[in-house]
Amino acid sequence: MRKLKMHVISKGYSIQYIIAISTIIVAILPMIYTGLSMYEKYSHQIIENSKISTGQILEQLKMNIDDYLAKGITSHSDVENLLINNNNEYNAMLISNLNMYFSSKNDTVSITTFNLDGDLMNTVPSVPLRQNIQVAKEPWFEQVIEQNSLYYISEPHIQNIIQGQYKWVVSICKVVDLVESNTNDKAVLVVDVSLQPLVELCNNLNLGGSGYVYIVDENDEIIYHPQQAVVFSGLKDEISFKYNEQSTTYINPQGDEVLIVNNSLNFVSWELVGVSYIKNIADRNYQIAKEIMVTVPIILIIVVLLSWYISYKISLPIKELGKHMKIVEKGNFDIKLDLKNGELEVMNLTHTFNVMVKRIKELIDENKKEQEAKRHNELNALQAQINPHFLYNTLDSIMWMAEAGMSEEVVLMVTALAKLFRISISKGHNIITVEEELEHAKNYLLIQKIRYKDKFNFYINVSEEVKMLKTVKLILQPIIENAIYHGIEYMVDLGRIDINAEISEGKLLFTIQDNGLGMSLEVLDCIRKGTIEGNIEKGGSGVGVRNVDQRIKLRYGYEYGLEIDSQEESGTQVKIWLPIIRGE
Amino acid sequence: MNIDQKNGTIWLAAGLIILLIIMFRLNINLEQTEKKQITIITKSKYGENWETISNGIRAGANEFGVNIKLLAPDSNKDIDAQKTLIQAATINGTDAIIIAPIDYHMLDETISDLNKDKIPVITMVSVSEKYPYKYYIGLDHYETGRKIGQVIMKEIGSEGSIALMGMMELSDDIVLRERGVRDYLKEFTSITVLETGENSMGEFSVVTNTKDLLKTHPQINAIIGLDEEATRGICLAFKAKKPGVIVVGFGSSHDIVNQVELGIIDELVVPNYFGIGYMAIKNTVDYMNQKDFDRNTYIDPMVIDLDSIYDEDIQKVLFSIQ
Repeated sequence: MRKLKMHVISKGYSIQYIIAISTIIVAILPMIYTGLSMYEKYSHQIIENSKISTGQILEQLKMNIDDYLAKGITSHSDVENLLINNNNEYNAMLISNLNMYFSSKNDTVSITTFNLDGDLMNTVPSVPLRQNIQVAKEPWFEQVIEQNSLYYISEPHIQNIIQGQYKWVVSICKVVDLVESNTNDKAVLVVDVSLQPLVELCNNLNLGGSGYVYIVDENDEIIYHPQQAVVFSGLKDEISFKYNEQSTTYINPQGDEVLIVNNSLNFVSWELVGVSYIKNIADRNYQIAKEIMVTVPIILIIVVLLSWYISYKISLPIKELGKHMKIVEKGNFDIKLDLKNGELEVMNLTHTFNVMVKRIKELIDENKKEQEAKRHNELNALQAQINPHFLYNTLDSIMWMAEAGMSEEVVLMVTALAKLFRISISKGHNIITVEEELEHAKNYLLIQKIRYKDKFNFYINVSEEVKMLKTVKLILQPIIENAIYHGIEYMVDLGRIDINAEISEGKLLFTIQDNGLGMSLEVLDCIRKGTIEGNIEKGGSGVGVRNVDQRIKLRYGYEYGLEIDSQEESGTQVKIWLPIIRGE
Repeated sequence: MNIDQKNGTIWLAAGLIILLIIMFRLNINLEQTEKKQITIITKSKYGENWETISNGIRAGANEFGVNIKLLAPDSNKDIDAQKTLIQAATINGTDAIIIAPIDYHMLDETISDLNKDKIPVITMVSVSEKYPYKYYIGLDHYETGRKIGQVIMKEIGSEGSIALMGMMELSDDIVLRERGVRDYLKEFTSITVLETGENSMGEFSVVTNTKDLLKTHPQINAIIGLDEEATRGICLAFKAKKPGVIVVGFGSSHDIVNQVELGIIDELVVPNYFGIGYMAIKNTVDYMNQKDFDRNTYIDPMVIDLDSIYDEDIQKVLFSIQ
């Protein structure tokens, strides 16, 4: 049992540990939860925001490209106006005006006129042209003629009219009226505008680091791509984007997650496709995560240190208390814990502890004194049995009786003396039966009766039931002794001592009644207060009634003990109250 | 599991340390998301081809999220300058170097030093049989030669005579291309390859040698330029199209493409320099990120003629848009 108890104690956690761990857990869990949920929320939000912002960027790009194409159309319109102003006549004046117009337009690469058969009529600027330009069979030319007075905008392509120049252009084409050599006719006017502004518009977009924009036609064919040399040589697969598809995230052929946002242009059936890399968008997530990663450890360290400190502060006085308790446990009660700081509860506990230690100390001292008194009294009671005075007188009487040839009396007295001592010793037991105690009293009375030459008679009255009860030994002899020495010895008449043992008021009651001289109230008072003892000089044991009373009270409590009642010339009655104790 | 207080404290301390280490590692990883820098050292600052390669490099850098530093000597013959640039890049700090070595022999020691410093090195455009490096992006020059041989066979059949013009004395690349042509023709045709004079003087030598060749072998079926300079020289020597003589050129510069339009060059083998630049960055990034990639990434050239120059798909590869 003790082993088990020790085990449980050793497996316990200190209050500092519990407080620290609890505080850390209570602080960290919400922190981690908040951090993660914030991260999750922001990550999601960032992607959503990116969709919106990419959409906005593409919307802006769309407007810019529309504007770029509108400018191309305006250029074409300007050229057409020059023609109209020249009465649609194709002559030197017109060519001169076209050259002037061309030189004022940086983005215009060439202004070319074809007749409806596809033959080149003129090109501005006047530079060497490619040989064998045959546009009649090209699909775009047929389309321009079909559309008649509508503008046709070509896909981006390499300018293929001027020799040696390989500029990326968009061609704005339209059928116009032309008067040549006084013949009304129609011609196809082609204004090639540089693709460079469109490329710059696309390149200058910020679609999150590696993001880019490409353009597809209505057949989902890529018509412009910033990395088209890579895409069209098969070095890179571009995501297969379906025209008019909703913007969403895809895994591109390279295995990267990308956000695709699209937007249609107004003038042409082209679709702008914006590609943003999620990993670039997630860079902002990394920034948030980084901030969390920096903040959390700092807070964590602070929380750990703080909780450790707080728990240390709380547990320190308790530990002090524990230390002092251990000292007390070892039996040192001469300590007082004096805590200057600490929690109110601990201070109260400390105060209670101090009071408790003090009280325990008092009780121990008290107990010690009682034990000492008990031992002293027991010793005195034993010493009483070998009172040399009593023994001398008894042996003297035996000797005198032997000399007088009173052998019967000698035998009786020696037997009584032997029994007296045997019961006194009682194998060292302090508790004997009522029967034994009465036997002891009887032997004592027998000896004294012989000594005092039948000066008194004695009567012992006890029931069988009472005989078996237990009592402290040697409590009757001092009382009888007093009755003889102080009550009967100096009586003229025959003395009488009555000893009763009975159960009364739920207690064991011995009553010793003599008809001796009795005592005055003053003397009775003094005896009750314990200031007068039995007289050794008169052959008493010297132990006295106080010893008997103390021995009973120390053993059984203050409700038990002696009651003395006496009247002068009438005798004395002593009652001894004891608890009823049965059995062994 | 019963944890007593002492063990609990140890666990707590260990947990905190592990947590801090994880966060420290994460922090490092997050820092690693910062852009790495790649230094690209080309052969020359000038020239259309280098410009196109640079465009490809910029496109790749933008896509793969790296910073680039483009360095080059003024002349494509200045080996010392290229060596100095490599050393300067090492001193200034770079995460990787892509280099198109002018001369492998002269730069071997410097490049070996980079390997010692554990700086990833990727070579591009040019190779050396004597100094093979681990990582290369560019043409497979031998296979390009075989492709040229294929074109010759398509143009003139399996018989006849041809001449190969190129600066074989100056570049291993051209030597490999020549070998490729010769091996292919030998394997599949009975075409004779005529001997020509040395072209070590560059374009001028080629012009002279071509003219001499046309005089000495008027029945020649084809003349092949194995590099841009040789192709230019041939075009200069021809001035106008010579019926019966097929000209196969090599290069992607506009002036050479224009020779196709002028009809001087019948077939042009065009390297994809934009693609080379782009893939150089892609492979270097993969290398730095310890991902798998082809140690030798060969970018196939395409063959164009007058009819296909303005083909929608071909023009997108042929003419850089940047």
